[in-house]
Amino acid sequence: MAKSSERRRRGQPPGKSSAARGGAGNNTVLYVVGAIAIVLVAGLVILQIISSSAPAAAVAVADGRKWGSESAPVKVELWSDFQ
Amino acid sequence: MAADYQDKGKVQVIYRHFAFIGGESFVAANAAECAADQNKFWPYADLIFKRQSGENKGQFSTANLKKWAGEIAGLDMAAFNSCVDSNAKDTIVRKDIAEGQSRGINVTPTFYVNGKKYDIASTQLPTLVNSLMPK
Repeated sequence: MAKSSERRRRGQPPGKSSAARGGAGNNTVLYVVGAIAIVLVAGLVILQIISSSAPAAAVAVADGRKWGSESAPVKVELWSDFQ
Repeated sequence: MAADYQDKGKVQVIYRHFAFIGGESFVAANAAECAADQNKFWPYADLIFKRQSGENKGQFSTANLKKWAGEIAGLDMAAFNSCVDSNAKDTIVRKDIAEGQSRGINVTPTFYVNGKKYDIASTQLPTLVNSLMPK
């Protein structure tokens, strides 16, 4: 096995084997880093979409301006001007 | 809608001030907040909505707003007038307006239903509420 392995190495052009292996290793690292970056960016985009479409946060309003049950299934916030 | 839903606990309405038309908008909003102090916001708001007449033409003068308040049963007029005269609720009104601006509101009325903004006319609200009512 060792000979066979040795033969294969010798059969390759001088210096190419280790460089090729190093290049492949570098490519793998780049692929992994790229994949992580893509996942992170996609995650950020999804979070942004979710936050922009999320319902407005509940607000503190004096009870006098509320009409109806606090547990009502439908809550209407009316923004208005009296004029 | 009030009879069908609010009184049966199915809908809650929250009024938010977006007084942006002019000076009288602020005076009226302040007066309504003064009525809210005495748990009379809604009857007073209904009343002044019915008295709308032009914009910034003197209809919502302090004198008129005080006079109309006299029509609300059970309102402590001395406390109400003092509140209106001191513009005591200005901060509350402006805080609402600032929040409205931060949400991008630029027209009234604007409705948020269950936290989601709907660009609809008042007449379309009952249909929307119906559609969101649990079956």
